[in-house]
Amino acid sequence: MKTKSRYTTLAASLLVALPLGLGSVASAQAETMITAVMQAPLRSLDPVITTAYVIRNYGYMIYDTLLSVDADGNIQPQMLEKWEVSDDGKTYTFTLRDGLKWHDGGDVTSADCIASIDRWATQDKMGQIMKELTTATDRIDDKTFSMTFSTATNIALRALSKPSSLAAFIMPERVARTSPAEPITEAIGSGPFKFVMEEFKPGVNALFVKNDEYVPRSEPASGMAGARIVKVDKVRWVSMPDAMTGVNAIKNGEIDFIEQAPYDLLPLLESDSNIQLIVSTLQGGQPVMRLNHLQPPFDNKLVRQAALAAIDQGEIMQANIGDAKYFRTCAALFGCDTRYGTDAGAGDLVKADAAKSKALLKEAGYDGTPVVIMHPTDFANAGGSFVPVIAQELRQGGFTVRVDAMDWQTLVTRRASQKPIAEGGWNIFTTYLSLADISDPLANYAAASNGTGAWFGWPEQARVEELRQNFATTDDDARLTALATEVQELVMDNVGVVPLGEFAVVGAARASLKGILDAPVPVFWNIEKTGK
Amino acid sequence: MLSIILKRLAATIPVLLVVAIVIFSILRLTPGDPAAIVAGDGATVEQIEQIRRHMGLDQPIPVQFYRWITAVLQGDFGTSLISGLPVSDMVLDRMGPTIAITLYTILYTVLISVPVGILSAWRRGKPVDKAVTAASVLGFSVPVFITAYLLIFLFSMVLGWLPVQGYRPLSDGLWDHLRHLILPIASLGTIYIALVTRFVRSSIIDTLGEDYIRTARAKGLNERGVLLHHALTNAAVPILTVIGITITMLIGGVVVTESVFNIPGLGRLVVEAILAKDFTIIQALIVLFSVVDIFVNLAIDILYRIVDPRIDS
Repeated sequence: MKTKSRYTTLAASLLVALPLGLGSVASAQAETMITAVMQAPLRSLDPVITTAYVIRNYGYMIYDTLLSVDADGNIQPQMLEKWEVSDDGKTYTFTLRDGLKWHDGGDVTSADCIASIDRWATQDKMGQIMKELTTATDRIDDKTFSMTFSTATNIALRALSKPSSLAAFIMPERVARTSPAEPITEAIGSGPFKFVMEEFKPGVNALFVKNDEYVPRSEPASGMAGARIVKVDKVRWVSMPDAMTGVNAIKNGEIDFIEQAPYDLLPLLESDSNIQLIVSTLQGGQPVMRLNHLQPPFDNKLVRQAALAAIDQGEIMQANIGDAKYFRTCAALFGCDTRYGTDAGAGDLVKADAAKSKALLKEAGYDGTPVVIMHPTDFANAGGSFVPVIAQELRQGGFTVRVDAMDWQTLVTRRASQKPIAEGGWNIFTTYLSLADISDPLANYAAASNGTGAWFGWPEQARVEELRQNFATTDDDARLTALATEVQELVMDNVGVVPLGEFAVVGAARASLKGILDAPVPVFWNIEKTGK
Repeated sequence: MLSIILKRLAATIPVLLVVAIVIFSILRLTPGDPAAIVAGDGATVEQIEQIRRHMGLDQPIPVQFYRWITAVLQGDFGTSLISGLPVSDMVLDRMGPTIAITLYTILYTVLISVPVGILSAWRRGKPVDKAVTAASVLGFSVPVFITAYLLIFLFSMVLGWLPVQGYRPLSDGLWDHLRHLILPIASLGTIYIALVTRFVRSSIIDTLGEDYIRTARAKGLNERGVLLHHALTNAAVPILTVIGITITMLIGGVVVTESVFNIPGLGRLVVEAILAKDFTIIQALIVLFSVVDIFVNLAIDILYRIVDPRIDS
């Protein structure tokens, strides 16, 4: 009897110790909540310190931008009522529209805008160019400020409207005064959604609620521009580490939206009448191969050209994506079907020419030293699925190749090393860039060629940098196109970066979601939820 | 008993110190840089270096260790390098699902495996024993994710009885809480039931061969009494050992189940932290897992003495 009593007490204690109120991941419970699985878990809250796309997407939920780009690629006011340009083209005066309020109740002022632009411009590459050209930023009144440049340029419009990689989100001045090296942990914006900090569980769950105080623009939504009208009460982002679980969950009606459905599981979704597939080329990407210009053998331009000649885009994209509906080969550094898309100077980029590769290697005096490719086995789109194809193509082109398998996080650490291979360096890494990030010579950071100040791989071409500067200070369309074309020719000749094709992002949504916008960023305004 | 507990608790201090030093050193020696991860794909070397300085990762390793260990001794596990949120809050958030999974799985495992193991031992060599043995081999041979997907397919996709994924705390309602955990526990339970059943069976078989069992039967004790009061009590020590091991494996070691069913437990947190090189979280979790291991072992030691007082003497 005594023993029974002891066991009963033990069992009761265990039940009492159950996790009352600890942790939760809710799925859709109300008709006006969209539960979405984004392409990566949200783990931090500073859209200025990192280029991670999920944090940019978070930025568009809670922050607003002064300008944005519509579906036709035209720059439109967003937080602004208007902007004016001085006669000499050097001074831009920006006026905020009425009704802009922070989520904690204060008015958005020009001082907030100036501080936000200042912090953002230290981090963003186009912002840095803009900052170099800026001679003065002046607050005129609470709603008006001006930016003056050393030369006539519309770079402020282009930089402040671009949706990637770091968008110029406007934050409260006290937040924007944080050092750019210190991640902000507050989430007070003036955008169409409010972030519920109490519900934030990094890597698990993020909840946004409709900002009832938000005053949308009157123009219809178009691309990233126009009215940002929120038609649901809440949006919840949940992370699902297993792609199959996400697919099962959306089929079962437990979630409403998957930002990027895995290509190999699309047949399961295509056959379901309750699911709509959202094929977006605007949110698509360009896989790229980056060569290390500082270390042999790729410090030799002929060897780099041999590598480019050895590559076959079609085979790589086949391994990467699989279904030809969702990819294409593309010789354009700035993306096919974009304003500056051209195949000028691309030569052997799309099809492999092993004989030419071997001839170039012979001419370069390549001694068979193995080239080291970093293979991110856990990240398919960044190379996990196609690095073995690249390795084989390079071997067929006459290279000796060593593939170092590793996780993506190890790769991003190792690629920062400028040391020789024997000391932990590298020769080749792969990744992919969002099409919104590559659309012109300023936005495309892979085109930058300022040596050790450039993106990993560190190509150096003074003429490219000169052209990029000119691109920043020109607003004539024909001249811009000519500059972009010359940049492409030079970068291709120097093999600054090797584009490997283009793919479309395929998202999935329950059929009950209406009004999903085709924009470079997955946005949740304008979406209605009409049922389960 | 009290002196044993105190001695064991005192012995945990050097163990935890060694764990802290080893995990701190290993993390600093393995490749991976949280600053590069925070900075993102488009960052330059300069930007990464700036963030590294802010995180304090530019300091010598002994300085970093001293700062960390002095803070930990004051109960401060620091903030996540990636999210900037307090580590203790993040760990507490993930503890609920892990405790729930561990408790229910252990309960489910013991309730099934002990009687089945006894039955199998009692009917040794008979069809029921062979069936239990075959089921056990199948149970621990099939990977947990296969079982999980099959259960999801049947109970969620075909029958629509249970959700595919997610976790609800008990505060959301008992049924909502349980229905989200039935499939994960059933998947995990398959392996642990198979394992514990085998242990119970072999322990009981060993005990049933002892002289005192023969004596008990000779005195006319019925089979129920022989099995429950003599065989099971004396076979309890190895069974408790395997249950203790199961608990430590369940806390933080069920990342596949947590991933397949999208349960935000400690197992997923530790793997996410390792992939993101979030040193402060990894360090806190390894220390936590060590503490749990130590206390589970201590609890098992105490239970040994309760079920078999000879151990004390």
